[in-house]
Amino acid sequence: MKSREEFEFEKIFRQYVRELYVFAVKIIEDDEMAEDVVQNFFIKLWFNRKAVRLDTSFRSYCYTAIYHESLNALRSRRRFEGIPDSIAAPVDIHKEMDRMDMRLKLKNAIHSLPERCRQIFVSACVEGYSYEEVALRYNLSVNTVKVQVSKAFRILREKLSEDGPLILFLVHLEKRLFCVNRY
Amino acid sequence: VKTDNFYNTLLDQVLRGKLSVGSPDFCKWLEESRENEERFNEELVLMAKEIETAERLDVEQLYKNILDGVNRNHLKRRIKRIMQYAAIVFLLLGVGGVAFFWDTDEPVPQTVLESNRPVVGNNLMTLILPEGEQVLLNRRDSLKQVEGGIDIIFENGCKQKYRTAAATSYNTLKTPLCCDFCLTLSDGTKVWMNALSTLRYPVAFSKNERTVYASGELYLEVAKDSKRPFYVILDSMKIEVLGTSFNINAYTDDNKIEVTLEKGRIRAYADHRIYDLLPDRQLRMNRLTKEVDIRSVKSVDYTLWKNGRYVFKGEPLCDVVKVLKRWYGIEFVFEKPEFEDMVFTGVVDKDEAIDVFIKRLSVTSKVECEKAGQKIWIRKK
Repeated sequence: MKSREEFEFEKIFRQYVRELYVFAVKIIEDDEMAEDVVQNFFIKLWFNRKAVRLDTSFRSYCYTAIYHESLNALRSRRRFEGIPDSIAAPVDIHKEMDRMDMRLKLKNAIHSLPERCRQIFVSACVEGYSYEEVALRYNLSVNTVKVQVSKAFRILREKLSEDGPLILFLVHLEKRLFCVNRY
Repeated sequence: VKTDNFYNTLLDQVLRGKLSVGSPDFCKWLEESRENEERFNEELVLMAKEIETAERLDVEQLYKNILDGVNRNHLKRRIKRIMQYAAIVFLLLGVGGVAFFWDTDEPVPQTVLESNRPVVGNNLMTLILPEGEQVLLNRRDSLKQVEGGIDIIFENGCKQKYRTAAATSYNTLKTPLCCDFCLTLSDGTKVWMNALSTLRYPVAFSKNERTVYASGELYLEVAKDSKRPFYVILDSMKIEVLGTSFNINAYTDDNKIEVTLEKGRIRAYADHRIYDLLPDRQLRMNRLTKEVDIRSVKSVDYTLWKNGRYVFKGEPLCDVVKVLKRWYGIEFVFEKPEFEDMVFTGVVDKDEAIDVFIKRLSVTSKVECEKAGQKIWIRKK
């Protein structure tokens, strides 16, 4: 039987885990270590649950905690590898937090791309395959791949500019009513 | 005149969702130069990568890990509270008691053998001294190591001394069939050795590093010493340790080497590559192809042998009998090769006779086992 507290905790976990993970990966640049950082953060959150307030500053509290945990993880890895400690590049936490709206819009825009066009865009731009490799994989000419990629960028830009305000509105509505998974 | 900085903030505002991509100001900036458009596209790609990162995360697994961590921490907190009470009790007992127990003798580095398992048959451990002399050891013997030499104290109390040549020389310990035990090295590192395993360790560790050589199956709890890294050298791999517990499975008659980390952090050097391992991860290397993979495991499944149990979770019978052969020294013969792929799940208690396993296998599967001398035949019912 799940307690009420556990239920609330799981809801919060599901709501924030992915964006916090993205943030940790950005700082640490190591998927597994970032996963550990996020895991430790939520374990601590459970034990601090009575002290943490779920108000408007909660999200920024999460980001700040992940930021410090990530720096600690980086530091201990450097110590383990015998690399002298250096100052990490400063991160603007609020700038990172604000990227969520645009990320959601972009996700929708990518999903609205025609099937083949999306596949080529993802392989060439996101997964980092060269145009030659993508061409080989889909049995196309390199030129066709180039055309598809620029077509993808054109459609993305159109989608992002046309229904921008509407989605923005929906996102805020969703955030308040359902607390859904952000991705 | 609008400065470059202003456009930076325009792009910035768009990325932060504060300005629409379709706003006239931004469109004007985009169409101004090819360079601007490319910069915007680069930012889109960066963001698409972030989306991909988020989707790659196994949320369900992570949530399970968090619940596990929470439960473990609950226990730790309870123990901590009990320890606090214990500390108070000690304080009440008074400082006089502490002074009474105070030991002023400086500890002599020593290797201590211990085993809680009754001796089965005549299986004695062998200690090979640096000169090549072999000594059979009883389980309750203790090896006391003094600089440059070694004392072996037998169970019945009669003492025998073996002097070793130089401080850099190595002793070798070998376990026979049906024998496992635990020893503590002079630096405080605890080593559990399973049957048919070998450990070569220096009579005295050097000042800058601790190196041992191993084969077979061993579980190590390395004592922390940041000034002296601990190395375990296997036939085709080197493992660097900084205070941690992990399991090694590297029998030379097997194609695979398995290193499973329970706590801490280790680094493996194999085939000119470096692998860092996190807890509950297992590194597997194929000796022949040098292929390496790292997977998530429950490390306890791989270390229970030291507590007297083998755990098999859906493993093919041919792998299970390999493990049993090393413990019981019994050969299994499969009547049909397809029986080798049968999947076995279960626990084998090391104190049980092999007959228990045979009976269990016969009852729960479609095969029948028959024991004939040192061989067990597996055939169709």
